[in-house]
Amino acid sequence: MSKRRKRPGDEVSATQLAEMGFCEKRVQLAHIYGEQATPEQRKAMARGQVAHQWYLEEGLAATADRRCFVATFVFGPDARETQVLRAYRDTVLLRRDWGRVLVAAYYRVAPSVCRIMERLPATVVGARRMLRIVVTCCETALSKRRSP
Amino acid sequence: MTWLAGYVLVGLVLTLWLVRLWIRWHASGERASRPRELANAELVYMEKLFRIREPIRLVAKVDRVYRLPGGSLVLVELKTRGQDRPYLTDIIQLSAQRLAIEVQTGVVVEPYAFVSVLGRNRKMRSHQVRLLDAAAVVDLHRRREAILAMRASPVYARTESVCRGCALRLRCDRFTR
Repeated sequence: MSKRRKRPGDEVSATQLAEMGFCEKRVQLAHIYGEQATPEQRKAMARGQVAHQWYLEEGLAATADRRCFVATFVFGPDARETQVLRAYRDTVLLRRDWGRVLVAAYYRVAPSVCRIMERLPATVVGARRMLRIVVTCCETALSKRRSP
Repeated sequence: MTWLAGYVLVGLVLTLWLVRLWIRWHASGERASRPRELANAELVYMEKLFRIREPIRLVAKVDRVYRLPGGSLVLVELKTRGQDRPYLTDIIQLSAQRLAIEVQTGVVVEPYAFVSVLGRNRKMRSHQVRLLDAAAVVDLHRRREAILAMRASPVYARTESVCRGCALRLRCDRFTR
């Protein structure tokens, strides 16, 4: 049981703030006397932790096998080229209307392109060469944005 | 001839519907647990911490965040409970997460989110909830600060029945008066 009182103005977590929606009196008492839990609540918390771990592992497994995006398929999920393209998507494309349309269109087309490349490995070499040019352009654009 | 075309059309629609059902039944892993509305979204964050200092000092850990084809983000929060419904606490938690992500990343987060409730029977159902805006989250934070500093009187839980499971019940003046 933690008795350390947080000063008003300290950092608050989303979970702590959410407790205001249950009982404000409880929030005040927990602040004065420290957070306390009944055995049932401790059991529920343990159950929640197990479920969250399963939920995380399931998500990690899904993203690890994400082969539907061309750059990930061609270079690999952690390759420098893939990261440059991701950065360009997040910092340039997704902040513009036309960019968001382009990303949406790409997400629709990319899985089919990946399937074709899976069947025809010779196309991967060509795609890699073409994407390298795109990556260089994106890198130049990103470095221009970074420099004052 | 017209009848034949009609039968073919009905058969085609029925087949497509059955295929859709089959895909849904056989969906497994992350695809099976995500809300149906996010079928075309990309999972971008899991158990990620976001921290901001303005407009309030806030830290939020998200369970899952999906990116819609249009680029905006949608939050999903996992809850384990017997009651298969979202609570106000879920909405506040998700609204605070939304504020933290928007301020830290600058990316638009949709004003709705999903609460995925995992019941005792291991079945998961997702509920769409409308989130509070940033001003409401800041106001709630101010009220919390005022309550902790004893500058405002706290409100009790809506019904006394929910107090039965509270570990601080013996300290509460709702029962000791």
